[in-house]
Amino acid sequence: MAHDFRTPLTVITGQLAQLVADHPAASDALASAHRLDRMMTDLTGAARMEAGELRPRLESVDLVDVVEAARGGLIVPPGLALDQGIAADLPFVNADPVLLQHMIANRIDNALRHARTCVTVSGAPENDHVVLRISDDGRGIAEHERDRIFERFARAEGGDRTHGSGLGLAIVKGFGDAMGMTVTVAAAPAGGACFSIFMPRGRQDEA
Amino acid sequence: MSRILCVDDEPAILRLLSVVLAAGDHEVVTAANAREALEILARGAVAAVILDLGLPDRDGLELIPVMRARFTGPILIISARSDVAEKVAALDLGATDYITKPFDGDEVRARVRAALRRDAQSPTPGEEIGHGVIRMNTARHEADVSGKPVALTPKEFALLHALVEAGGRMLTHKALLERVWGKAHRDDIAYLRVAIRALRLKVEPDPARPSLIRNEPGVGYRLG
Repeated sequence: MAHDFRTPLTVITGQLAQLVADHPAASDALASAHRLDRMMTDLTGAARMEAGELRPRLESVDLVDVVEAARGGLIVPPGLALDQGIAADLPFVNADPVLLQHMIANRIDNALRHARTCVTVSGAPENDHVVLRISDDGRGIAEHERDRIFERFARAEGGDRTHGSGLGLAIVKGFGDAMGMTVTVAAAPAGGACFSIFMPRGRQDEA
Repeated sequence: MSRILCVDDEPAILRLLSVVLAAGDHEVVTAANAREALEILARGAVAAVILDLGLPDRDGLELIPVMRARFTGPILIISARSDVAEKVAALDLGATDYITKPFDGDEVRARVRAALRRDAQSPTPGEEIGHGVIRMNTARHEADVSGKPVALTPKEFALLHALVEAGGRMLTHKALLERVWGKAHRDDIAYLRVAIRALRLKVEPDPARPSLIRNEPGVGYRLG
C-alpha cells in the first residue's frame, strides 16, 4: 500500500518543489504534500500494528543515533527551539531502531505542534532502564485526558495549531508496547506535557 | 556533463528525474524496464545508474548483481519501499547508495554528485586517504581530524579507515562488522555500537550531536 502512495507523492512533491522556486505561494501546497507523506507513514505503521505485523528486531541501540535520525526528518517551526540533552555516554537500549525512530519522531512532532517556545529531549539511566523524556511548554494534558490521548484519533482539549494524523501518539504507545517499553505522560516542569519512554538496557560488549 | 541512466517504469518519475538531473548539468537516458536498462548499459558511456527496485520484468534486487557484473560505476537505488531490509540487501548486493521516495531534488543531485566524485578518485592502497576534515595514513597508523592528531586503537582505526575509504557512502552494519571484526562477528552489533561511540568521543566536535559519523537506524553508518 505504502508503495502505491509514495510514487504519486514523489511526483507531487518533486514538481511542487520546482514550482516553489518561481512561485513562493505554492509553498503551502508543498508543505501539505509533506504532511500527507507523514500521515501515510503513520497510517502504514498503524495498519502494521493492527495486523500484528510489527515483529520488532531488537538489538543494542545508541539513543544518540536514533534521536539524531528522528529529528533529521522533522522541521522545527520558526520561533521554536528543540533542545537535545542526550549524554554521549548514556547506556545503550534494547530496541528495534527503526520502530524507535518512528516513535521518537512522532512524539517530537507532537511536542513541536503544542510547544510555545521550546521542546526538550533528555535521557537518563534509571535502575535497569534508560528513560527518554520529551517535554514541551505548551498547555499540557489534563490528568483525566492522559489515558485517552494514546487512543487513535484522540485530540486533547483545545486542540493544536496544526493537526497531525491522529495516529501519532497511538503509534508511540503501540510500538513501545511491542518492544517491551512503558510510555507515561505527566506535567512538564515548564507547564506542558512530558512523555517518558522507559526502555530496557541493551548489551554493551566490547571486542 | 555525465550521462545518467534512470530506470523506472513510471513515466512521471522519469520526467521528474530528468528535470532534477538536468538542473545538475547531467544528461539523462531512460529505461522503463530491466531489459532496456541492460541494453543501454551494454552500449557503454553511462557514468551512473539510478535504479527503481520495483520493475515490471525483473526483481530490482536481482538486477543489481547482473548490472554489477558489467558496470563498475555508481548504482543508486531509488525505491518507494522504505523498508530498511531492502536497503540493506541492495547495499550488500553492490548498490552504491540509495534514495527513498518521496525524494528531494537537491538530495538526488547531491547523492549523484558524491557518487560520481568517489568513483573518479578510487583510493590507491597504502596512500594517505581522507574525507572532509579527517586524514589517515595507514602505513604510519596515524589519523588526524581538522589537523589535530587523534590516538585510535587498532579496531577504531580500522573502522574509521573503512568509513573514510567509502568516502561518504553508506556501509551496512554487516559490512563494517565483517571488515573490522571478521565474518564470524557479522551479527555482533553491540561491538560496532561500542566502537562507534568510542570513535565519536575522539573525533566528533560534539559526540552527543554527531556530525562526522552519521547513522541510519537499521541500515548502517556513513561519513557526513
